[in-house]
Amino acid sequence: MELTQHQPGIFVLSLTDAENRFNPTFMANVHAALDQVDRYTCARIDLAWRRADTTRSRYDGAAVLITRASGKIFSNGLDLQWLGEHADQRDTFLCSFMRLIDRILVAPYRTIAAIQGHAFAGGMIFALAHDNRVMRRDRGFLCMPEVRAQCAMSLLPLLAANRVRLRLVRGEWRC
Amino acid sequence: MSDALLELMNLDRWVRLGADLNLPLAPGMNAIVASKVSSAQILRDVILDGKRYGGEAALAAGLVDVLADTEEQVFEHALQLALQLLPKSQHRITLQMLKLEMYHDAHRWLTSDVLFRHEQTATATTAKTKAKL
Repeated sequence: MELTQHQPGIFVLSLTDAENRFNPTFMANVHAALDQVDRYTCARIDLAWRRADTTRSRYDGAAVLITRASGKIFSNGLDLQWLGEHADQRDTFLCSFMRLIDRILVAPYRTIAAIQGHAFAGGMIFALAHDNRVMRRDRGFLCMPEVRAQCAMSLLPLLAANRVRLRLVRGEWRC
Repeated sequence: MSDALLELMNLDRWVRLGADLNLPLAPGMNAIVASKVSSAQILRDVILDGKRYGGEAALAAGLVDVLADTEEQVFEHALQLALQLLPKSQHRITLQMLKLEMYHDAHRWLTSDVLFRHEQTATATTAKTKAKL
């Protein structure tokens, strides 16, 4: 993930993972990027205050954040694998995800999502949190499959059980 | 033997994953979608049907503002938009206060750390269903 300043005040946050799934590391990186934008706007505002208003540039303190990704996927939502491995931290994790979403929702600068691919579930919520959204005409879907998640996920134990059964059949385990 | 045990632990992990994902939308997640879509029908399609929106459909539903043809053009359009919006975002405190007012409900629930608003109802229903069975 990297934050670049395209020109004064226009920040571009590029999500560089393949699926851009939200786990604590990813979210910390997004927070760090947003901190940088905050620092810029604060510094510019301080500068404007310290100077006399006459020397103040018209756009002092103004910033716009564009969030973009590349490839097929904009964001696939929560990192379910991480969530599976840290089930005990599920609630705190969900709360911190919501706080990140809130930070983008009420950011003191305009936010734009450049959705070049799929935005699923948490990824779609992340995209919706921005003020404006640009999407690709022929590629990518916005979708919140929560309603299907339960049935899809309830297959997983079956798949795992099948793996165990296969191993038993092949006689790989001799206890 | 240890291999088998590891596999069983792994299995347990998948089982827990399956069980834990049985989560409805937290109030904050629901509220942000509700505050961003333009009608009750679209809200229903997005949340209850899990409808997949391609570009044209998303534009028609008002989920996105602009469509572009290629990945580069998506960014170009965003950049153009950013240049238009830059002069309008110079009063950052006013901007944030406007947003706080617009998205009051979503902001309140997103920062509340509440994951289940109707936990009581949910458990009551489960108990009732179990009693029936």
